[in-house]
Amino acid sequence: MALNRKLAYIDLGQKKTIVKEIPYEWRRKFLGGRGISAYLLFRHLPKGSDPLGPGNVVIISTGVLGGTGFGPFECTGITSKSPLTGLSAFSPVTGHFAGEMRWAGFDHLVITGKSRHPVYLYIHDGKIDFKTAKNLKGKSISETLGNIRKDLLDEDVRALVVGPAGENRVCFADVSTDCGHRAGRTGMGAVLGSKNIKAVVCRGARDVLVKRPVDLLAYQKEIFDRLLPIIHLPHAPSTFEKNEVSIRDMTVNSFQRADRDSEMALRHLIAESGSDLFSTRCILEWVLRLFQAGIITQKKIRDIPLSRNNIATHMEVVNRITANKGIGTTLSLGPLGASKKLGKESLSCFPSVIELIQMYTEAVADPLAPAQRDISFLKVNNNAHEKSYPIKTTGMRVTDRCESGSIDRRTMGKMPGRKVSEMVANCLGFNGFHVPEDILGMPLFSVYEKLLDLVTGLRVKKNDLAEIAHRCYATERLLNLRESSIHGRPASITEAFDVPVGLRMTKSCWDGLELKTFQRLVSRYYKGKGWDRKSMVKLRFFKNLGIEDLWVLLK
Amino acid sequence: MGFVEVKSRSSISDRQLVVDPKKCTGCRQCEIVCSISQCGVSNPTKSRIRIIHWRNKGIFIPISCQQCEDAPCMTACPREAIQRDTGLNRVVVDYDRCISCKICVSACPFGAMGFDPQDQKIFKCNLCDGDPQCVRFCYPQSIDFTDPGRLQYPRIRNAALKYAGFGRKTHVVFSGK
Ligand code: SF4
Ligand code: SF4
Repeated sequence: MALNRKLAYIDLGQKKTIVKEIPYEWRRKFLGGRGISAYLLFRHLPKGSDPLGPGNVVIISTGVLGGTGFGPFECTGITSKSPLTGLSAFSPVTGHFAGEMRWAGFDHLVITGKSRHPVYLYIHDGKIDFKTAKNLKGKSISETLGNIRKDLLDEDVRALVVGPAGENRVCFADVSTDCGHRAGRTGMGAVLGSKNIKAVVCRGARDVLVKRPVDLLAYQKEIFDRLLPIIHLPHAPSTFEKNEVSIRDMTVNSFQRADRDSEMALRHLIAESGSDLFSTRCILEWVLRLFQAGIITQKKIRDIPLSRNNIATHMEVVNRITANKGIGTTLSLGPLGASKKLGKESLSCFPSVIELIQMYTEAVADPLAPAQRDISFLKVNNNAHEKSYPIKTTGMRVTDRCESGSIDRRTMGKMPGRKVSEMVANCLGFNGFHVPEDILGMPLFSVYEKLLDLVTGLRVKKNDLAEIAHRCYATERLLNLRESSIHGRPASITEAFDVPVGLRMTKSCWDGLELKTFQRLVSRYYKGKGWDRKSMVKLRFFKNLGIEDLWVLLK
Repeated sequence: MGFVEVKSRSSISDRQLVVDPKKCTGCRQCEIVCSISQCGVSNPTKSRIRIIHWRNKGIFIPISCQQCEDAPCMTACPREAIQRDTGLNRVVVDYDRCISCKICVSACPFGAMGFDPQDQKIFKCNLCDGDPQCVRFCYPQSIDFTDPGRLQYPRIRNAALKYAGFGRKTHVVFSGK
């Protein structure tokens, strides 16, 4: 059966693995991918564990449609407690890793503990080997890949690789695939690095069963043909690169560098060191502004003559961040962490609050993320909102109402239609499948229903899918409520407001939006949608969702 | 699938599978689609078309059965289980005669003959009985299913363009120099 798939518990400390079948009941409740990962994280993450300590748990997952020919949309998800926010995070990465992991025999890898020496995991045909990575220490992404390929005498391995930034626990370190796709935000590179994992490598020759192959191919062809006008299919690596460049250009446009070659060299350096490009560029701009404001002095950064036009200085700062040395020790904590050392007023120099939000909240599972974003755009006009989200339509017209099958909708929180569809996509193993209805020729949810049926034989109705999405969000949110009560307030964007009057960011949509107003908006958002602590932390709520086994873990 | 049965289903067609490695992006969609259509499972190792790559150099080459006129696998087969299907101009395996000795796998210079350890059967590209799925799903159009008369046409056209000097400053042919 297509859903008879395995998950592996990998204990790095003991170097032991346990392989288990994924229970059918989990599929019914969480489907796969992000949903099952959220559930597993709740079950295995010890309360209050340090994101960069051995107690943290990393879950690498693929969805139920992984490896069945949806190339550009398929994603692998990395779920863990983020060192940036202290909350649970899901970081999706496109590329071919998802399929290879399924062909290697696994849908989920639950990684716990910490290895004594650097290792990379080699997953092949149902087996998991711990391979030494002592010789890979400090190596860049491409060097690491080259060495692993030589070591395994296999050019076709697929890998998730951590760069030196991740090894040195830079809080915004990312994870790169062998073809350069990145799990950017939320610092998953640092979490893997803190466990002494240099890479997770897959190679498989096992079957991924498909329930109705002929119908699947016919339907896939229909979908791809419909998508042709709006997307490049299949995803050529060069196309991906181009996309990334445009995003980067869009985000930090104040660098105003003339020299294209050195600009490329800087990007290359950041990518090879395994830092999130967006975050690192924001930090670089921040450093310049801190320097101009006299918050970082010449003495503090030693002999680097910091200048906007001298790319070498940027490279030196990147190198220090990567090595977590000198000024890099502070900067590698991320802006909110660093501001604790540099002083609250330092945050007023950050390029913009929007960038601060994006650095912290992109792909973070807490519904606060969209809340912060939505609220952040209250102050700007609709056009600017559109610009920031180049998604043509929501694709799904479920509206704000919670549509549910067996769960009692009166006691459930509400989610915007787009969030529901995003969550279902992540559970299926898709990312970025925001396709307008008129192009698909049918509602997005009907496409999901049909694909699920063709690939797995599961007949799940739209309402059930919405219910699954709610259950998954609730699981993530409950975990976040649990974790934030331990550390007090987790690293939160609200700190951005905690700066002396007069030093607050200028030229941002947050001007005049006081901290209290913001907090009020956030709490109203949660209360109004039923995602606040009072509505959620009740045994009845857990029972309604069918996750009462997690109740004891909440306490 | 028996040889006789295949032959009777075939329509007369001369078309052949041709690849243009320059257009291949290495997406491996063809491999997945081939395995799904041929075996009903997703597993690139069971695909009849394979992408060989030098990823760092950006080189991707799709390799599948060339349906050779004088096929080494056909010659090597001790049971004469591999024969030519003239209807679709392809080389086919008669599984009623095949004893899975795998000598064809060794004989094929392209490595286009595969062996499925689960089924204990050899496999090769059968041109999807005239509707190649890999071609349908190769959006960069690196694989094509075309008439022999047009096989070399794109290359001839490219060569002619170069010869004529398009893209150069002087048009060699037309300037008479
Ligand atoms: S589908 Fe086409 S472009 Fe993609 S790997 Fe196959 S031959 Fe190359
Ligand atoms: S023509 Fe059919 S059998 Fe041959 S490689 Fe393409 S998809 Fe596979």
